[in-house]
Amino acid sequence: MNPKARELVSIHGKPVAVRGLTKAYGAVKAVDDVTLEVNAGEFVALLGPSGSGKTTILMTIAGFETPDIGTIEVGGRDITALPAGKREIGMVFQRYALFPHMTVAENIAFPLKMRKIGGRDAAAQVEAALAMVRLEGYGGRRIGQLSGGQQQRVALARAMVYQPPLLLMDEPLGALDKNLREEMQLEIKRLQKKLGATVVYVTHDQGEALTMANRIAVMSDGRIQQFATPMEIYDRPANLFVAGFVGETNLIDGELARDGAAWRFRLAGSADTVALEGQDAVDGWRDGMRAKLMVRPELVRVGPIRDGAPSGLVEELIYSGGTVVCMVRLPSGAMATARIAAADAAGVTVGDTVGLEWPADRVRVFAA
Amino acid sequence: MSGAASPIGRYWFGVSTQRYSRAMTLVLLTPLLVLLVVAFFWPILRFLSLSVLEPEPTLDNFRQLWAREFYTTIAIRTFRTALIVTAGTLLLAYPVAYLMSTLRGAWAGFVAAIVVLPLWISILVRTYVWTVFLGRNGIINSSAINLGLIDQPMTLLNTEFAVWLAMIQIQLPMMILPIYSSLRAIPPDLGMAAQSLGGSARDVFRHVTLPLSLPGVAAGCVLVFIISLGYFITPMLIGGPRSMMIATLITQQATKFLDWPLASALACVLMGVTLAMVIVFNRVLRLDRVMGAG
Repeated sequence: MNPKARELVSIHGKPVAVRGLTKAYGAVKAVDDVTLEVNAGEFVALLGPSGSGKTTILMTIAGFETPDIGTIEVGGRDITALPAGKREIGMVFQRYALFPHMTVAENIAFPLKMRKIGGRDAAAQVEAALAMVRLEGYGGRRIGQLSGGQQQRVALARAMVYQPPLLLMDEPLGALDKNLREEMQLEIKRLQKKLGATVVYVTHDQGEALTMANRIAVMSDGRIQQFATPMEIYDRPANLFVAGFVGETNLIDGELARDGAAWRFRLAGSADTVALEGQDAVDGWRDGMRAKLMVRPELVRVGPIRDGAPSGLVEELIYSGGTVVCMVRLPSGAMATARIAAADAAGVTVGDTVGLEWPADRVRVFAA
Repeated sequence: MSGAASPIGRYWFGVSTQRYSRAMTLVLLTPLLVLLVVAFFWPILRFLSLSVLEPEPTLDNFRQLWAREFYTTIAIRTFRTALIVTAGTLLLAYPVAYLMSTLRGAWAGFVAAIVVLPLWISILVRTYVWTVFLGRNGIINSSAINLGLIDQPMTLLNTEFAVWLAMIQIQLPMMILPIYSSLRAIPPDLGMAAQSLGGSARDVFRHVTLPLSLPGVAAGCVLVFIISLGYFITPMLIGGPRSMMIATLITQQATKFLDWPLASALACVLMGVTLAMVIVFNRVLRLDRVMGAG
C-alpha cells in the first residue's frame, strides 16, 4: 500500500474528568469548584461570556495553569502534576499559533519530531494529516502565504497528527469571518466524528456551541450553570442566566398564581394569566410569588384578543426574510418579541392590539 | 513619554498615516539632501579620492599598506577585536534580553532603565571608568593585593583585553535592545503551542524562541561589529599604542604625519571591508526571509 494513501484512521478518544477545580487570581475566583465529566469521543463546548472561567478550565486541562484545588484525569489517569508537554493533549489556539519560521509540513511534523519520529514515517503521517484537512500539496508553503482558514486547518492537522486522545480548542474560529467560520464549524465537527477524538471546545459564540457540541457547559462567574445537550439547554434552561445567554428570549415579569392543583402565571400590570405545564422546580413555589416567564420568540403566536389571555400593542414589524419580528408592548410597559412566519404577519399592522399565545409546556418560569 | 500616545505625540513621532505627493516629498527632503551632499558625501568623496589621486593618479598608497607589516597587523587586530567584542557582547546580551522579555511591570521598567541609562553617559566617561578599575593602583589590583592574591600589580590597562572589556560593556545596550525587541515580538502562544505539542522548555527555546529572535541577533551583531571596526576613543585611551586599531591609525596618519593620501587609503580599506561584511551578513542570514512572507 502506498504510504501516502494511508489515513489517520482513528484517534482513541479518552474520557476526561475535571474534579472540584478551583483557581483564584488574588481575591477573584476564576474557577469555583467546577466538576465536569466528558465521555470518550464526546464533543463538549464550554460556553460563557469573557471572564466566566472557561479559558482557565481549558488552560488547566492543558497544563498551562496549576489548579489551587482539584484534579484533572484523562482516561482515568491523574495528570494534574504533569507538565504540558507530557500530557499528550492536542491544542488549537485562537490565533492558530503556527510557527512562522517553518513550512506547513515542518509545523505539522513538529509534534512528531518532539516524539523522535522522523524520516519516512513522519513524512507519511504529515501527508495523511494534510489530506485529512484537505490541504494536499501545501506542505512546502510558508505560513505567511496561507489564508486564515488554511492556517486554522494546518493548526488542526498539527494538533491531530500525533493522535492525542484529547483535543482542546480555545475559540479556534474567533479570528475568521462569518462564512468561513460556519464552514470550519462543520469541518471540525466532521473531523471529530470521523476520528472519534474527545474535544473540549471553548467559545463565547452560542450558535457555535449549539451547532457543534454533543453537550454544552454554560459558564458564568467561575461556575457551571448548566451542563446538558444543546436541545436541553435551549428548551429547558436551568436558570435565568442560561435562559438569557443562549438564544433570543422574552423574559416577562409577573407572579405565580395557584389554580387548584395546577399553576398559572399572571403578567405584571394586568389580570391576564397563562397556563403552565411541565415545569421542573414547582416545590418552592408559592401563590403570588414574583417570577419571570421565559418564552422563545419563535413560540409566540400573534392572534385575536381573547378574554383573560395576554395581549399588547404592535409597535414595530421588522421584516427579516422568511420571518417577521413583531415587537409588542405589554400592559406592564415591557416589550415582547414574536418571530412569526411572513404569511401570518400579513394581517398584522403597527398600532393593532393583538392577543399573544404560546404552548404552555414550552415556557420556563424562574423565581425572580 | 505620555505624549507618544496622544495625537500630538503621534505627529511628532512620525506615525502619521498621511501620504504626501511626490513634489511635496521632494520639497520636504531637499534641505536634508543638500546638507548631506554638501557636508557629508562631498567631503568624504574628496577625502577618499586622495588615496588614488595624490600626488598624481596612483595606487602606491594601497601598495604601501599591503607591503608594510605594521599596517596589516593593525588591520587584522582591528577585525579580531571587532569579532571578539561582537561575540562577547552577544553572549552577555542575550540572557539579559531574554530576562527582560519575560519580566512584566515594575521589574521590567527597572531592568530596562539599567540597560538604557548608560547610553546617556558620555563614552569618554564610561571609558575612563575602566581606567579606575584596571589601572596599576586601580580597584582590581589594590583589592587583589590587599587580599593577598598577588604581590605585584598586574598589567591590565594598555592591553587588548582591557579594550575588549570596555568595548563590550559600552556596547551592551546596542545588542540587548534589538534582541529584546525581537523576543518581545514573539507571540506567547507559540511557546505554549510548542509545549502542548510535546516540547520541553529546552525544545521551546531551541525550536521557537531562538530561531525567531535571530533577526534581532543579526541586527545587534551587525550594529556592534560595524561600530567596533571604527572604535577610536576607547582603544586609544585604555589600549595604549601596542593595541592600536585602524581608526587611531587613520587619525595618526592624518593629523600627526600629515600623510593624507595614506590615511585616505586606510579609510577606503575600512569602508570597503565594512560594506562587504554587511552585504555578506545580509546574504547569509537572509534577514527578510527569517520571518517568512507574513
